[in-house]
Amino acid sequence: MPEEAGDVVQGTLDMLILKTLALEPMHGYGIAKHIEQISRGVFQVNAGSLFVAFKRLQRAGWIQGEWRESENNRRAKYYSLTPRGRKQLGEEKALWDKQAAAIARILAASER
Amino acid sequence: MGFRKVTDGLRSLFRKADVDREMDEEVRGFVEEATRERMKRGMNSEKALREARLELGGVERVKEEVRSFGWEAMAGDLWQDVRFGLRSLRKSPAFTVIAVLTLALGIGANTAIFSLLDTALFQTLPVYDPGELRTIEVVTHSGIEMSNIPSEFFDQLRKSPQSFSGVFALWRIRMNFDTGGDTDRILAQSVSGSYYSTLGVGSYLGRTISEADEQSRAHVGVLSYSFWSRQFGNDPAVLGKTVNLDGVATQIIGVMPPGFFGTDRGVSPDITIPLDNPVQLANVWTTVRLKQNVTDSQAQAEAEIALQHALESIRPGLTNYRAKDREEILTQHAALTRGDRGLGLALDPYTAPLRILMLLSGVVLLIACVNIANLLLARFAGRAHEIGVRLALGASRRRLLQQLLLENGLLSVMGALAGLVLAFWMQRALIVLLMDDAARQAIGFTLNGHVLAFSAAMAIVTLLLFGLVPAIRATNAEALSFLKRETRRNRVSRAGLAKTLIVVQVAASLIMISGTGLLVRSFRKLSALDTGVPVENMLVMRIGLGRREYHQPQPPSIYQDLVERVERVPGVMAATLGWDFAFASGTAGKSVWVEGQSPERPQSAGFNVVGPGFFSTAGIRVLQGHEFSNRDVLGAPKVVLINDTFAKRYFPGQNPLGRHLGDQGAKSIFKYEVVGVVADSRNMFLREAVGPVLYQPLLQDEWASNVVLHVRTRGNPSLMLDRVRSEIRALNPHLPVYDVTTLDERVSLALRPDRMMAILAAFFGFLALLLTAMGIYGVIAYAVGRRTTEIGVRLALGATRANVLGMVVRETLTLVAAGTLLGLPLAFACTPVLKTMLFGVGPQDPATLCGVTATMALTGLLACWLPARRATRVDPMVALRHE
Repeated sequence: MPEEAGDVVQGTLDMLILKTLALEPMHGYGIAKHIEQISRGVFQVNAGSLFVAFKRLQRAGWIQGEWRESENNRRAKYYSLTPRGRKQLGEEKALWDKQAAAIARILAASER
Repeated sequence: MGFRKVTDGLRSLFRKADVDREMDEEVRGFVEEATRERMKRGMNSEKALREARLELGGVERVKEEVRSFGWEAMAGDLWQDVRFGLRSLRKSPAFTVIAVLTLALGIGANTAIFSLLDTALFQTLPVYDPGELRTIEVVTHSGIEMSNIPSEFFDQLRKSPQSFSGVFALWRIRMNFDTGGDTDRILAQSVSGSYYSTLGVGSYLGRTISEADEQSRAHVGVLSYSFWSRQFGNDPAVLGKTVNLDGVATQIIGVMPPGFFGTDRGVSPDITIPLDNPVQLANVWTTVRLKQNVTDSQAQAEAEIALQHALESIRPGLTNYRAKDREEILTQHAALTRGDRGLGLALDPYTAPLRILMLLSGVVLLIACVNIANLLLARFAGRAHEIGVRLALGASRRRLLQQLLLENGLLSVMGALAGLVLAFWMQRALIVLLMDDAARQAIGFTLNGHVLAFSAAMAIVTLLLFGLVPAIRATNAEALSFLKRETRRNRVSRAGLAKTLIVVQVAASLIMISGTGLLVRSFRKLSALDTGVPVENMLVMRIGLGRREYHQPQPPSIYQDLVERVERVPGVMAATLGWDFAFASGTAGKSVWVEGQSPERPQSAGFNVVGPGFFSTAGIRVLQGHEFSNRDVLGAPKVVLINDTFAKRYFPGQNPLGRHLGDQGAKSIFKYEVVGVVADSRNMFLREAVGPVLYQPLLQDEWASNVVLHVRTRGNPSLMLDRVRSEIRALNPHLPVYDVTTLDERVSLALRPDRMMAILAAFFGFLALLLTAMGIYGVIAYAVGRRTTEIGVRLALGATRANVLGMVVRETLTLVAAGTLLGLPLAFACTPVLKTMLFGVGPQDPATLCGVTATMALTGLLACWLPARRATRVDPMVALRHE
């Protein structure tokens, strides 16, 4: 699959998923849509990467999946944040803020 | 977290269908949701579904992506490869069986030898924390290390408890053990009361020897498990019983567990008694246990102080010594060596032969690997089509290589596992062949970490040796050439590799049989050696007449009584006595001062003390003068006999009769008169050159000592044994008689290590030749098969059968010659490692190397015989039609 400008930045997908699930438990498609909508279409989530990320985050014990009835009366796997996942989100967010601020400062400096 | 990883992964591996179904449902749900949402926006269902699918990028692709994430994906691949490999091996059972068996034999032999070496070199004592033990030694200023230290030193050591949590001493002696009919000689060890507590071992039955036993000089003994089994049939009622040990009633207080043999692997004392009981020992072996956190240098310093105290107490007793000797004793230093393996002396003689065997079996394994590599080349050539198709269909080379290597790895793992089982039996056989009884008891097959690691390493090394190159070749780019039918170049290069392997194999097996040839030749020379004593029909036995052995001083007249009684037995031609066996004269040595030689320096000579008629009975010629008679008794002039070498070395060109010798310094030179010269005979170390030997008359001893009774018989000596024994019993029923054998067997015993090396080397050499012949046969047969058409054409064009035969033979001999050219210089470089084991042949003996080369050529000819014959029988018509 060709790389698109709108693909999620490597390494940030995990954080975006955690952030999304911090609101409420969601199924795969819901998560993908949420990320797309909130970012106003800047980020397109590749379904393959998304499912691999689910597996990875489950293995890490940050999210857990359970089968539930969806709003359309279908069975769907809903993912929710575990307490450890919530903690991880806080850490990743703090790290991200620090990095983003640093990058912004560097860019601002070079413009001068 | 790690836990989830494992359980999740295992679930994916073992509940594959469930996991797959769930994944499928989840991904399809994703598509449905996407479709539904698009339809909500007003898209028709068909278009919505198509777009949703496009967005997802294919259900199966996504599933595959998820599946290939995580450790279980790799494990799954591996498992698949293993199953594929097993299936593929099962499809060619003949190949698999041959390869696994070859590997099992090779790895088994190597593992067996390694485990013996491991035991001899590395295994620690079966005691509590052996790493804390240190053996105490004294070192003279000239650098001689002695592990038998003065017992005064031991006494001082056990008074200095700062560094040591325990100090014990021991000594070993042979003692008479009254079995209730005969008197047996057993190995006893006397130990200080701290022995068992310092080692941290307990008894199997009863109790061990305590400090109190040592102080009260109690007559108590602890039996070894094997002696308990042998002598008392594992009867627990033995505790509290009293046995007669060297004439002393000794109470049995305990039995040691089966695995405990003492502090020296290879020596198993039958009974252990308290130290200095009954005899005060001058020297002991001493071991200490270091306290925790005590360094070796602290301990050494403390031992040094103890030694200096001990030397001070010894000093007054040294006044009679020469100044130089006194100096030598008083300037000794203490040294500590690791004690975790005991003194380790008993197994030392085996390490050199075992190293050589290890080398030989290693080369055999190499040769075996070459054969398997050749089989694999042919096997993969046969599967070129399958491999080619898989490559063409997009299998990655790496994955394919991994698969083939894994298949080969399965072979080597199976070979190593079967080899471990074989190693157990082979090791038992080796122990029986190589070692004496005591060493046998101390060594058992232990499947320890070393041995397992070794056989695992063997599996990997063999895999690299036989499996890597064929697998790489099978998967290289040319594998695709099957699509264009097999190219000429490919065929030629494969045959070229097989031939290179044969050359290597011939070289390796040449090195191997060079070693074999040398060892066998050396053994034949050694066994054909003239010992100087006719060994036929000679019964020999030791008789403990000495005070230590018999605990009753006997006048020398008992010698004459003994000989007279034995000579009365019908079938006995003559009997005589000596301190040592007739052919072992000169194994013990002494210093002598020779008239006419520099009086300052004593000469060293071997010696034996012999009775009247010794030389005529033993069959050693008297060259000059006469041998000792019944008149050479105490009070008569002191006389000696010398051997030919002694006469030639110290009285060159002179008549030695009437010349004089001394054995107690320069002033004693006129003590003994030489009354005769006897022919040379070999000493016990058969490979040693005959040195000067001195004989003294037995009857000039003040008290009787232990002697070897020699009985020359008419006919089979073993048949006379009972009569001879009953005569000895009639003389005195309590005389210990031991080491009963024939002189023939005695010589054979001395040859035993050499014989065993020769047999084992011959076995490995034969194996190497056999494997090489198989290798040559395989490659030549393949070559002939491939060239059937060419041979047909040649025959059709008028070549004779002899031409064809010559062609095949020439091809074979070229390979053998190339291998020989490669192998001979290597053999030349390698054989010097055998130097110490050889007798009468140099390590680069030209005759042996010629013989080896001829053997190799002959092997090559035999191996190509069948294919060559098949080549001459090619029918040109059939061969050409075939094309």
